[in-house]
Amino acid sequence: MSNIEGQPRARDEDFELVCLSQKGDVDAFGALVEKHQKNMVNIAYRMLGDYEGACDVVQDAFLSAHKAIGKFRGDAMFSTWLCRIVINVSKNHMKQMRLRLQREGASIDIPIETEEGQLRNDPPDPTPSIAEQFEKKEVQAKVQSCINSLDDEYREVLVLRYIQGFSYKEICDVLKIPDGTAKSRLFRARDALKDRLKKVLGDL
Amino acid sequence: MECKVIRERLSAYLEGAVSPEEKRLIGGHLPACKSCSAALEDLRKTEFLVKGLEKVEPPAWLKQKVMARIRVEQEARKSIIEKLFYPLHVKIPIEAFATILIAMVAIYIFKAVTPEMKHIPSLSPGPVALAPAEKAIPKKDLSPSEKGDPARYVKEKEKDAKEEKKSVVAVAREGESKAETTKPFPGKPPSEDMLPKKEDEALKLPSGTFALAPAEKAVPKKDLSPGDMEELPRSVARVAVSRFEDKSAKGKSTGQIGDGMAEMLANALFASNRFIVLERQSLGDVLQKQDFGASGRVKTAAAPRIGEIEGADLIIIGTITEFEPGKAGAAGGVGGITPVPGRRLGVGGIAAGMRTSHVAMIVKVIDAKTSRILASEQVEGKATDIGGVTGMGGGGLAGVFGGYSNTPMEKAMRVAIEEAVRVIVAKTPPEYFRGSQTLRPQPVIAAPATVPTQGQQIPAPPSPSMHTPGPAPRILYVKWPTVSLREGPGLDFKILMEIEKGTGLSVLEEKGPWIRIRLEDGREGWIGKATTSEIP
Repeated sequence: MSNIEGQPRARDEDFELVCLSQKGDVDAFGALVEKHQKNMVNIAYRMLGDYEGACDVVQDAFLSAHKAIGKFRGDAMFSTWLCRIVINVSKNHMKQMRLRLQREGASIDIPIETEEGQLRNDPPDPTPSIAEQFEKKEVQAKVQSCINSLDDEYREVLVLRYIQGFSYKEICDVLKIPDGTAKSRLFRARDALKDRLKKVLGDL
Repeated sequence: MECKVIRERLSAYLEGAVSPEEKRLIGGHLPACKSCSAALEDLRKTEFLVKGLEKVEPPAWLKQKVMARIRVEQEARKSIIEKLFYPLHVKIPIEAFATILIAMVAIYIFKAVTPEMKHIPSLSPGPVALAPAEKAIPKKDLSPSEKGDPARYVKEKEKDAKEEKKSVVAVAREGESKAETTKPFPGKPPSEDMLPKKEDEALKLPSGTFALAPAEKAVPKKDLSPGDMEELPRSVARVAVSRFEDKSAKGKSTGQIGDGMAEMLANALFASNRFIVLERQSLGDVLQKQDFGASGRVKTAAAPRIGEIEGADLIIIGTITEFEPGKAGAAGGVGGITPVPGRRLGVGGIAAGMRTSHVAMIVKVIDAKTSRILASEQVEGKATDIGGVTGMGGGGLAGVFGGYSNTPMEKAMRVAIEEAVRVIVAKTPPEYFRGSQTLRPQPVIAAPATVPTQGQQIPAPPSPSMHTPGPAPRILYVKWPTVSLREGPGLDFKILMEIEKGTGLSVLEEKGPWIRIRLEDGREGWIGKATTSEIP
């Protein structure tokens, strides 16, 4: 079940392609896009909970990466660096969406603010005990909506840790936060998510 | 209490991020506390659920779209560079260059077309005007003595006085022709010494060369600037500019515009050197009477004749039909050069926005004696202000238009006035221009080995009757064995004949080192003054 795929750990296997891209080789960058697009789309998707938005974000992120690739010095791995861009673009995207929502007013499909953060405007499930009957997809949708209801900073550590399977060190690199902060944030994120899930799904 | 603390640490416990002591503590607590174990289980399940989220596949078009956008962007970046540097695709620089080029051409044309106007400031008499004039004269080594300077000074004075006279009220015709024909050199008998003292801008030749060189060889040295041209005697018409009637919407209230335009036209006519401009203020009453007379209500004989007005040949009457300033003076000048006092030169302000100013007037040229309308033309001045009114040289605006200074209106007025002058010069029949020369016919290059570019100097057709001789013509005698009589004041003019030593000549006119003379048999032409003497 673990989706933790082998992220390049020791040596950056993208090194050569990155070098070529830096010299203006568009095809080399294309190879990098090919290689990383799936991970990036997943990160963005889990961050946003919106597939189309995620695709837009990933496009923008790759464009930004291409523009800035000259500045990539190899301090971190390329995948980490790319992740950071995707996360940042995602956060900007969410900010814009929220601003737009504020301006246009809420609709019933849009998460509403509650004391505990954003929740789907669904009525609470009347029979939580029959969670087993839920289709897997529906459970996943619920999980995603719970993730979406978390704060950005919790969301990103959760996504990086459990979706991407990053180590604490990598999370620190991507988010540029100290190790302790990353950990405590992750623990609190999991606690918070657990509470939300319990509310939505009943028994886990 | 303890449960609460432990639950906070459960996540860390799961991650294995607790100290061994904590781990032991929590591990000891969990089997005993059901709720805490349940919480731990929930946390595990949470992680499981999140990890269990299915991976989504990126859409197939994602990479293509990303790469397409990257290529477009690269293309755009490249094309910016191309636009800037690749000559065939240059866009912005070409526009900039074109603008600069057009501006330069415009300034050049403006300067070339109205060189006369720029001389207006220097007409002011007195030492101020004199000083630059003297500077302009190249220090010639052929000035052998200090004696030269006083003579030059006197001449300058005379010239100033003459021009002043021209500009001021009604110059009596007699006096004018006198001043032009005879320029006496007090205290200086005409002799060879005279040559160096006369500043000879047309002929930059040392006297020796002049005296000895065969006529044709000396030619290339000569250079004519427009300034020199002005000094050539030209035919002039005596003109009075009447007050302009203002029928434009704007002018009806103020009535000043007509006055101002008339004043500007008078100045411009004067500056054109084709007219002797007579004071118009005195015209007012007389004209009204004449108009009355011309209208037929009064017997013509009873009305004063226009010709009685101080000897004017022509009267200019104008009617302003349109006077539409754009937003006058609203825009600030950018990079304007502070106007030098008395000389409105310099790059005018670059005014923002686009404004079109428009002036139109009907100019009528009327024969002063017969009251016949010789010409009636509509002239217009229009100036659209895109990127500024630049480089306006020339005469100042009339006082009432001070507010339009450096605006498109100024330009429009100038254009209209220039156009009016052009029309007046063109439409006035040549017989009204009196003087030694008619309107520049293209010269027939007759003289061999002359430089064609010198053609601006026109052989003066003999016009004995038109030119009023001075009261007592000066008589000179040819000093040299033979002297060439030429059509004009210059070595490149056609030789009319050779005159022998001792021939008597009556002086009609002086021009630098040249004098126009008449022979006993009535033939006229130019000879070098140095070849003559007062003693037979």
